[in-house]
Amino acid sequence: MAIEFLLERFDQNKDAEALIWSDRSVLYSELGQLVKFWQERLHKEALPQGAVIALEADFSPNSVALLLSLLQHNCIVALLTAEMKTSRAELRQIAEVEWIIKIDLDDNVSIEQTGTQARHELLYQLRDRQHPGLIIFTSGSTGKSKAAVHDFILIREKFQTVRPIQKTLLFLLFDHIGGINTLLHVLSNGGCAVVPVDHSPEKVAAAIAKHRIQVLPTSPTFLTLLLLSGVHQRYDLSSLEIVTYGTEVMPEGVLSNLNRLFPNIRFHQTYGLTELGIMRSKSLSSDSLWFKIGGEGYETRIVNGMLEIQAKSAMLGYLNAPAPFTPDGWYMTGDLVEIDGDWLKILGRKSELINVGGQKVYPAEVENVLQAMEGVLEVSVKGEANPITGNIVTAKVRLTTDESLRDFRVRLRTFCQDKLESYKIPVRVMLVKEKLHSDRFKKNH
Amino acid sequence: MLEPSKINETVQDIVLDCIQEVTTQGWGRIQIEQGAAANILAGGGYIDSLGLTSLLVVIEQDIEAELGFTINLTSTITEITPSSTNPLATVGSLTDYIVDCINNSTVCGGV
Repeated sequence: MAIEFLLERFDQNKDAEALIWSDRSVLYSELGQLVKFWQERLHKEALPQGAVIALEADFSPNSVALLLSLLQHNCIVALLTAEMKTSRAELRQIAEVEWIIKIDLDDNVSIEQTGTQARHELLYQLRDRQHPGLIIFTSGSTGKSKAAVHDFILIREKFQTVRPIQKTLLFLLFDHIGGINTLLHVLSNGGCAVVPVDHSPEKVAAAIAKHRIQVLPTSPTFLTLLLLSGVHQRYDLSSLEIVTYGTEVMPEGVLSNLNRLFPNIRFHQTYGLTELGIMRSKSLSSDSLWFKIGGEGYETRIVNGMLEIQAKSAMLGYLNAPAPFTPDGWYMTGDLVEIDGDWLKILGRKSELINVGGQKVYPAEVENVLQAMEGVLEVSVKGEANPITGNIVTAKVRLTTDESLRDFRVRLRTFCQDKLESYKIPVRVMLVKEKLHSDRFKKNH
Repeated sequence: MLEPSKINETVQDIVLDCIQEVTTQGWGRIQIEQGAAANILAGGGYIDSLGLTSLLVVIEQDIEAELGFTINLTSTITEITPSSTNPLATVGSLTDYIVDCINNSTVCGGV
């Protein structure tokens, strides 16, 4: 039984708070009852074991209880959120969804059958094993979303060991591997997960202050916005002990500002992928981008400067793309890294590397420098094909000032002159009004 | 809409301003005080590949911002055959080429 171990822990912690949602507290005993309620309802609905279910929700008492009930029922759960409005139909089709369970913002649940019959080989593999599964979509920021199929029995392994737990904000979303990882970590250790009203710096800071949150798992983009918004001056964030960041490269300047402003918070870099799950990691220090990754069930190696990982909890494959594994079973992450003994530093995605006349430019390095300019709210750097130098560096910048493009370009070049080699200085600079990050607080390009 | 003579003057000012912006970075040495006669790639002038790339991009951006014409200088100039007159020889030849682009959208994909 897939979640028996969790239900046992719910029993051990029955009087403790499991979730805080909409300022309502849900105890472990209540969450356990809710799981039981949904298990009975799934039987009544005659929902077959092994069925592919789209669970369309954000974190809430019912979404958490339903997720656990579906896994206990050996279903294959495709996680979708309200944010995916436009692409939902397409994603359901990719996942060959047989049933749709929708949970609205007030936590009301509706269940419907689609008439589809799932026939993908990977889904049959799970059914043959009689294991529940998760289908998690890659964010698809640079193309079509890919549907990663996971065997939940492999994912749950790392949550069997009891670990220390603190009050945690569920910042990463319900359909994100990091969000699911945070949820399972909290629930398997009897902790309390707080669901923020939304993901704006204001509301997140308010939730931290109100609920005395100790752990904030988030992204560098969100931390940048948090600093720029100045919410730390308006809300008491002193309860925070650990801030974890991953999903993209952290700008050095942002990390150093964070450490200066919050000397009592430990900043900890995490590493995870939709395809592999979240690995255990250890930062060299709070202000360092060097870190170690691994832990039980994970092995790493560097091939041509690129990180490759072998993971017991790796996905079975994609439903709509070839599996990105080497013939000997290593996952090619596409992340270029620098190594120093056992320590790693992520330089950026290989696919984002810009080749300017044979010289390599990492967008993160340039973003780092531009982000430190006065008046720069957000920046996104990428390459653009150019007939003279092969590629040029381009930068989209959102400003807090009302400078003209020309004035800003001149200021940018002067600022970068002693900080970047000339080929790294953006050639095309574009000023934009719209935000440069997605609702998942990852950079848009 | 600017008068034809004004367009020429405005474009030349943009070209000179952009050259100054780019050469300040150390990407070239062009004697802009010579105005239209200043050499860009003709003898006496010097601009490296990054400088040239930047120059064409900033000119495109400023032409669009100030005159409302979208032109694609980079690809059209690099497609010109060596036997043709080189628009990048001097400030004057580049100005003429851009004015041509503005007046005749087929020259360099102007909109």
